[in-house]
Amino acid sequence: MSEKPRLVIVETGVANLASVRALAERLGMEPVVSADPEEVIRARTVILPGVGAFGPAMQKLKENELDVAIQDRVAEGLATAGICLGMQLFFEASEESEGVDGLGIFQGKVRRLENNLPLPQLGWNRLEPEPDAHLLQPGWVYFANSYGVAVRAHPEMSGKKVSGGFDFDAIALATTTYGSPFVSAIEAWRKGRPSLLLCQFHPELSGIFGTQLFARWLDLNGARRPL
Amino acid sequence: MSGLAVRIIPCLDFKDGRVVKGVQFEHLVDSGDPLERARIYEAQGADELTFLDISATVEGRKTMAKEVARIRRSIAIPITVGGGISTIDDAARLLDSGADRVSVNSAAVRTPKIIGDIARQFGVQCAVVAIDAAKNSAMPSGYEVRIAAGAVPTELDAVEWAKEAASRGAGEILLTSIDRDGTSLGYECTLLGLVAHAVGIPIVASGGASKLEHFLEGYQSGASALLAAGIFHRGEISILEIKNYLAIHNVEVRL
Repeated sequence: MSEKPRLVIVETGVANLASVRALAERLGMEPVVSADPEEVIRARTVILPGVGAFGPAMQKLKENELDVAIQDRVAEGLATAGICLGMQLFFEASEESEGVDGLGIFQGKVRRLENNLPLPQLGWNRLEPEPDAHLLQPGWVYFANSYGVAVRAHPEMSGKKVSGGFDFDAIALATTTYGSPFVSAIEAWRKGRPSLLLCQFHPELSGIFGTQLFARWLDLNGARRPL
Repeated sequence: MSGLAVRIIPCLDFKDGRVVKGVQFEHLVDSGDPLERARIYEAQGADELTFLDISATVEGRKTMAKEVARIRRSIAIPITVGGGISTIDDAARLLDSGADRVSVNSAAVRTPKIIGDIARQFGVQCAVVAIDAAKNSAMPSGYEVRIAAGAVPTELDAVEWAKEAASRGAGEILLTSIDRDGTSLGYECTLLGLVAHAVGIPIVASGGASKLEHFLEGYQSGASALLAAGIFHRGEISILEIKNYLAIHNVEVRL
């Protein structure tokens, strides 16, 4: 059977998904865009893409009960990735949309990048993984963001127990500096696999580096093996 | 030090789905195939690609969307598409096809509301405002906005218009000097500096770069990204040469 393994991309509204679809295809997967919570819970691999603003995206997820579906996946240790805003949604809140609860899988609040540099940060910057990272590697990655998680917030997310009962065996970060340092990626391990991968950058637009990062992530999760 | 690399951006002009300017690669004679060109630039280290659709027909625009979709499948760097975008539907069609950002020019001057509409619907990073500016001493900044491919003066001050575009939600300004475009004289650095200091969003410098030092001057004037077309298409300077030159002058580049 030569059927390609499916990669479910969570539909969050007006998303421009062509680049994420193209990433899936480069990885030999069949991209499937879905807003069906059952499909999102069941899927072997799910990507939460990043488009639009924090508040409307959370509202869209809640309308379709996709917030619970994603929390359940993460609690089960199923392969799940978030990109750009899709990473920010994993935190408790964002300055972009005050009063809106995020998925709350990690503690901390997303804040506007504060510096005297042009915003949004548009372009290539360095991904600098901490020494305990096994999946994330150093390299150039492409960003398009005005918000992020400041590094000074990151002690809150270290340790096994994070928040809301989400147990990880290990969590490692990568940081990037745009005036000041922010959290640019998170790998969280369950049962010997990096089940959760969050990227503030756009792996789908980060050339070969981004494609290879996702290839490693999928393979460490066994997601490209035939069923 | 920001940490962010200055972007080098080749610009491809499209007409009816073909690349139409400066097609002089020896090994690409009679090619004009945008996908082949895009692949070469990605391999040479382009940080992003900009496509400008100069088709004048509805058919031409449909072809453009198809070409963007074809290129998107094999190119893994950001793509900005501009030219003839006058409605939110035009923008949506190109973004659906695989553009990461769209640039609006004449339509934004005629209907400034479109800037905020694109920013709200697709995100600030999607909304690029292209400004074509020409010297005019009657303007407070000394530069006037022109539309319709530079043919029509607007009596809008270029720096004031850039500020308004940013306040309406533009995530980037693609700033072309009409006086320098097609010359080999280098970017219009005075204009770049004025606009870069007036707004808090990234500026793409465009028009006139032909030598390595022009790229350094553009960066030093405050541009976040440096665009060129003809010199890349004709093979006169490679992207790698520019990046090496900038790197030895202590400018952050992605190598």
